[in-house]
Amino acid sequence: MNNAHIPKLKQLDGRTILMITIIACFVTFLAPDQYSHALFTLFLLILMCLSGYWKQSLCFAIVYIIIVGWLTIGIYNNIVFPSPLFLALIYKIIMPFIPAYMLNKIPSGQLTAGLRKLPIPQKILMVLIVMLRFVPTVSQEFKAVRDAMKIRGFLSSFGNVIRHPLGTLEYAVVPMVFRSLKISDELTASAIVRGIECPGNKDSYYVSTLTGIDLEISIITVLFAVVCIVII
Amino acid sequence: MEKIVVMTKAKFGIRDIMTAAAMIVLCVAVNMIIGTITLPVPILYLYFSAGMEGFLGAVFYLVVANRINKHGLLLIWSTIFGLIQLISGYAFMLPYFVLLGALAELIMIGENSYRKPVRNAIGWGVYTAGMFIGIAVPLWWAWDSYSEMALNSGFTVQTLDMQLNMVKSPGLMILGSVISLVLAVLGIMFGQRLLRKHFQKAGVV
Repeated sequence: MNNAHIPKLKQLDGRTILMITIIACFVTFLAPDQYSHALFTLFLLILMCLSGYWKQSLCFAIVYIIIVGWLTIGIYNNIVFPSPLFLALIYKIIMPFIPAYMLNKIPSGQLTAGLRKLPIPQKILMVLIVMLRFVPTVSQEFKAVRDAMKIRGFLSSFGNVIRHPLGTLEYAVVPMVFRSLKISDELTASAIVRGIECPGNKDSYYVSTLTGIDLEISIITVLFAVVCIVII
Repeated sequence: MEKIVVMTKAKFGIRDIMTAAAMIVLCVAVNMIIGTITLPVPILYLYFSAGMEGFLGAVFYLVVANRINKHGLLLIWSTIFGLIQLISGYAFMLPYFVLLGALAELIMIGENSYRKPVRNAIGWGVYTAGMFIGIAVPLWWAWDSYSEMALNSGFTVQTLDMQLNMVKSPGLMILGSVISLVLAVLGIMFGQRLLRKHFQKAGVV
């Protein structure tokens, strides 16, 4: 396969991006101040740009700047709404979301091939991979259910929701569960016909090997994380 | 031959994993909504968010539990939530959630326990109460570094004081655990009603 047109960093192995995600999780928690946090976020944004996701990188950068700016203004002026706690949680979560987004963009077969080589219990690994694939589906289904509820008048007014909370909940939850179960059954059928339950050693169409660029990026990420947590 | 069939049934199949993953995603989405709504009000966030998550999550849990009825579900469920905590930056919460899942799993020992409403109420209740107690873990772990990080992150002093008072007072911790437990049990009752009314009739569980 000729991959010459694909950015080199877009060919990173799933395991490398997973490692970057885990490092980002630690850095976001251990970063001593907002400056070191911002520095590592900038590093991840550059990585994202070089991987070919420059539009998404720009979006993440704008959201990050707005949240941090809002938080700073809120703290200095004692503004309680929106809660600084809420803003702080969002800006903390943006950093691990950047590599997580890149992880989510890897085709599921390629991701599975890479992650299968990790010492993670297969059941937990499968749940995680399916969850990653399920998130966009659930958000689409939720919008469809919300539209259906609006059309049928269940969300006509806030008062109506407050007067019948359990009823509203039932009308929202039941179709969501039914849809999700249907999708999970379809995914199951698709996985079974492709031999996921075969007890033998599984191989993949995708060749999952750690290359020089994986090693370079891993070392740079670890060094940058150490710099952000310890030195700065 | 019979023994082989029983062993196969005891293992998680791909269908079970897919079902669990789908319901966990729904549960995570609900938890995020509840977290967003309750965060602006510290008392609501500290004392009621775990219980509210337990109430709403009970429906999803019951669907999986009744559908697959296999041991290990609560352990996997809790471990996944621990991994989500890890991704959120609270890496030290992972072992806590694994232990919590193991405890909940011990409670569910027995045949067909995942299809018994009372056992589910106990197991899910303990898991939800454990989620509330989880709020205290970062404080027991290292209060100084946690408070410094929290203040830098925008926590108000009042919220931190309230959190510290809650954790230091056994009475308040018991109160919060009882609130979470009660809401989780109510959630199981509501979930059982939905299960009978919709899911069992449709034959999906």
